[in-house]
Amino acid sequence: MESDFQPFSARLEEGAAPLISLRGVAKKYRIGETVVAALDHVDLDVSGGEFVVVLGPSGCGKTTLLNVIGGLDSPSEGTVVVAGVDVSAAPAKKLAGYRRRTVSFVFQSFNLFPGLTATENVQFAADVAERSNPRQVALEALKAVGLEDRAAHFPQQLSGGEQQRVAIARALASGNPVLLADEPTGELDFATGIQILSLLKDQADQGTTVFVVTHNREIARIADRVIELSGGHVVGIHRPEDPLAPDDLRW
Amino acid sequence: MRSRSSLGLLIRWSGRDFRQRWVQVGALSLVIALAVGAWAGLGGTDRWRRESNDRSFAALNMHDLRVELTPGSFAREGELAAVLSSIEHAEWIEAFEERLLLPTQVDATTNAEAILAPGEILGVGNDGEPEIDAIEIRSGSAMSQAAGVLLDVHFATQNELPPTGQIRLSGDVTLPYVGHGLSPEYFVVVSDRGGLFAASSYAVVFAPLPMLQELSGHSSEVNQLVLTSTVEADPDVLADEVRGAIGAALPGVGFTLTPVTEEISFRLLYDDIDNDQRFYNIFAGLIFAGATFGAFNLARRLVESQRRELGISMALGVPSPIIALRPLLVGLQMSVLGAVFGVGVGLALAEAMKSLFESLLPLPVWETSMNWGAFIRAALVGVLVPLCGVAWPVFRALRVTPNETMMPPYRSQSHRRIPRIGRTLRLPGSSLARVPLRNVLRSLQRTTLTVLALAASIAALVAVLGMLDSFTATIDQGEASSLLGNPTRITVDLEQVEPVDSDVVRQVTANESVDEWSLGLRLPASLTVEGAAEIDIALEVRPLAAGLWTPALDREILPSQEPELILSRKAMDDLGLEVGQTVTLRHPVRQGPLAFGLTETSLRIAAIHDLPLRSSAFIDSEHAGLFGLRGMTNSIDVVPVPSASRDDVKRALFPIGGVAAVQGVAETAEIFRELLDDFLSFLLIVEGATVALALLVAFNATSINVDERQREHATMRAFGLPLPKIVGLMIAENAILGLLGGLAGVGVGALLVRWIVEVSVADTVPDIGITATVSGQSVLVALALGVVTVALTPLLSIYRLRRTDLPSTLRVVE
Ligand SMILES: Nc1ncnc2c1ncn2[C@@H]1O[C@H](COP(=O)(O)OP(=O)(O)O)[C@@H](O)[C@H]1O
Ligand SMILES: [Mg+2]
Repeated sequence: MESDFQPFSARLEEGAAPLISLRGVAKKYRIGETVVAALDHVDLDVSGGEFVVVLGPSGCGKTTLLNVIGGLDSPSEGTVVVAGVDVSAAPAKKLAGYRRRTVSFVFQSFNLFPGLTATENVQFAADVAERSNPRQVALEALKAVGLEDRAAHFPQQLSGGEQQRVAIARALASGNPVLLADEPTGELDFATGIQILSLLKDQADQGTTVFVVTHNREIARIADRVIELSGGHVVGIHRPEDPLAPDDLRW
Repeated sequence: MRSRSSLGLLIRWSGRDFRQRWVQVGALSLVIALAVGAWAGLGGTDRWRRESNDRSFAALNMHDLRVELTPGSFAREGELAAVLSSIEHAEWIEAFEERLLLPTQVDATTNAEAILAPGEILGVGNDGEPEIDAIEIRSGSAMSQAAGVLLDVHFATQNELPPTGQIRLSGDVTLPYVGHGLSPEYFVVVSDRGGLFAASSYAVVFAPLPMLQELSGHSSEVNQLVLTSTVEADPDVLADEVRGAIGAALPGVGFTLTPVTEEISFRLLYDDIDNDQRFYNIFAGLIFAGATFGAFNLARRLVESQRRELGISMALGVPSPIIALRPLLVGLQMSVLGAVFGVGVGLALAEAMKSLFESLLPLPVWETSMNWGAFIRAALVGVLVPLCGVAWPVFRALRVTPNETMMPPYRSQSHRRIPRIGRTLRLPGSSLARVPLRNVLRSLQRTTLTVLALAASIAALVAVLGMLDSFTATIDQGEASSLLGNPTRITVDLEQVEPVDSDVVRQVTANESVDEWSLGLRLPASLTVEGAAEIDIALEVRPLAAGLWTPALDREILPSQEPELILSRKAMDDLGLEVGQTVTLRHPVRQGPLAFGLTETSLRIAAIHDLPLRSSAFIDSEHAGLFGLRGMTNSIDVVPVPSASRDDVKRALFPIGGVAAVQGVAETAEIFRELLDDFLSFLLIVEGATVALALLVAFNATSINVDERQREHATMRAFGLPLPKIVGLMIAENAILGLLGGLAGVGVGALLVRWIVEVSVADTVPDIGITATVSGQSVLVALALGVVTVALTPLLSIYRLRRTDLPSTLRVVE
């Protein structure tokens, strides 16, 4: 099982307890004879409030990494510990609780509930996370993404960028410390993409640990930390010297 | 070549579609099968019942005309027959027989049970089988003077009597019986008390004529004549000639002529058919409608979920007919399977109906078969419905640009329309609590079709329950008013009118089981009024001011010098009369010690009583003179002493010579309740079909929802909502649909009950005045059944939900 590949170490400096910690994580799919390793030997430590950009070409395992951290998927090998919870070994029921309290997702295709209004979509996360005064929380989150005037609109009545902002508001409303965004700008035009990234960056500035998955190298320039994936392996981790503000990005 | 290979691909593709969706396609085809089967199984009873009746009456040589002397009158044997040779068209008469019919009381008590019933004994045939109105032996052997008599099969089987045994008749005569027989006159047993179905409580006994003549002291006397006529005969002319001839030969003797078409057994069997069919059609129609809504809606949704693939094909330039072919193949699979299963459902329903009829009506010939004509017609519609359901979304998809068709719903213009009610509705509570209602409101068209499908099936259920309620309420009301004051009251009928101080009367009234008593008369009569059909009544002449029981009236009446009638509401309505108006009463008048004639008297109607029987009519004993019966009685009301039970009184009074029947007043209601039990089997059939339909429709709707909302459910779970809560949301959503369907179904069902009771039943059972009622309990049962059945179907989807692979579901980009 041991491969001769030396994984790039992404340990933090001594002292700061990592919020998220992956050790020897692998995710393998067996389809007939062939085994596809979506992730292989991933070690990773991330502390609270970081803005992490996961970079790599299509099919390199970015989504799988996010799913493993988010408790949507369980690794075939290794351990994932988030905020003291061993996510990799938790039973389904505990995982649901973990997703309710610790992480929240923003999807590339938004995945808003078409039957609910913008406010209701956002309030959903607050309700599920059992936050007090969920409606107030929802309205504030919508305001934070600048959509307070579209509160009563249904997803079908919103543009793609607006829908993604609702999705971010929904993730914010959960109040959870880890936000996982899988190609949140993939379906959006440049200007809207910048807007979304600023929102996410603001969250990190306020203490939320934010993961943004992208295949767009430019976006890496605003990160506190960049994790490069290739073929399921972490092939590089670096911290940009002086991260740009989202508004300064061009692509 | 190319087109053949693409056809092959299409077929393989639709085969893959089928494998993927076989549960839904299968369940949907069962919905169609229910529709087709209900139509075929319930839809054709009229045809086979008519055929069964024709063949049954022919098999036992039912008479064409019957002459009956007024009760109490007799003719010498041969006297009536002799008259026939004198008529103008004597050659029209094929065969004739004289007979003797006497009221009696039958004690068929077995070791297990006391069975004492009023009834009649019919003396027919010289020794053995009559030619006309032949008796089919259902068990045991043929009757003869030497061996014994026959019991009517209805009475025998309802009371579970053995094939042979002993009975005791009025006047303490004990006779052996050798079997159970079925005669066409008694295919439906109707007592002489005004047209009740009375299989278990009215005993008909068949005896050889000479035997009965000897037993009853009417040696060489008869009181009936039946005849069959040739095909050339004109029934009206023949009846007129016979009437004239008998009138001339027996002056002063009252008699009635009944053509076969007026015989109650014949009339009920044929008249019922169309009414019953109309009634079954309602249920077949409702189930069909429910299934059609359901099938159309579900087929449509099944294809709508393939919209994107349609768009891709369009973009690739595949010709529209070929694009349409694949979904149409799915539709075809459903309809073909539906038709195949439909044969099964149809056969099962026809079988259920057949055994229902066989237990209700033991006819000698039952010709029941699947109605293939109806089946084919229903199957055609059954094929068309899913095809239309499939064609609709295909047509819609092909009408817009491929781009539009392919677009994920959140971008497609055509999906941006949100029902106004959904848009404007502000809902309180948590967002989770709103999900079910929002989903219901999301597509009103869909919701409406699902609700209609559920409503139709629940309406069928409510209609049956409501009919039961209406009958039950009527019976209860009749019972309450006839038991008023004296719940243990028993009516003692005498074989003939007797002076009030006669031996029989004294023996009855002085019996130690009898506490109180009052004397009255019970006479057959009829009411006529210009422009309305004649109504037969059982007229009770009783002391209205002082008797043991008086009907509750709608107004106070004062004793009057002139005779006045009290009629039922139903009789008044049917005759179009109001209190204060006059009606013509055709009634018997005594002309000699035991000879009666018929006459007509115009009488004022004084009040309306509250018994639900149309034939119930009353007149004060003061006016017995109108019938030539002052100081006479043939009906005695008695109240037992506290220590005596109903059976005690029956046993005590039965042996008294001249007593024809002893019956507790409460028994009428009991008989009707027994009758309702037969109706319960039909309720079960409808209930089964209804619940199956609701379940299938709900299951399919839910199953398609699970498919359509895979992504939503995965998102919910990504946010940590546990699976049971998601199932809970679906249950809540279905409960709303079930409730809406239930409420609509109750509304439609209640209207149907009104229609059935006031139009259909009023035709079939004109003798009973039924008020349409749907009880709160029935409403609750229907609602609960609808809501619970529909609400619980998501539980069937748990397995599929649990199996969902969250990462891949969420990953898939529309
Ligand atoms: N359910 C699955 N079965 C088989 N292979 C899978 C499955 N899910 C993902 N993969 C494979 O894992 C690899 C990584 O997938 P993913 O994490 O989605 O990549 P990315 O998000 O970087 O595009 C891909 O090669 C993909 O084909
Ligand atoms: Mg991905």
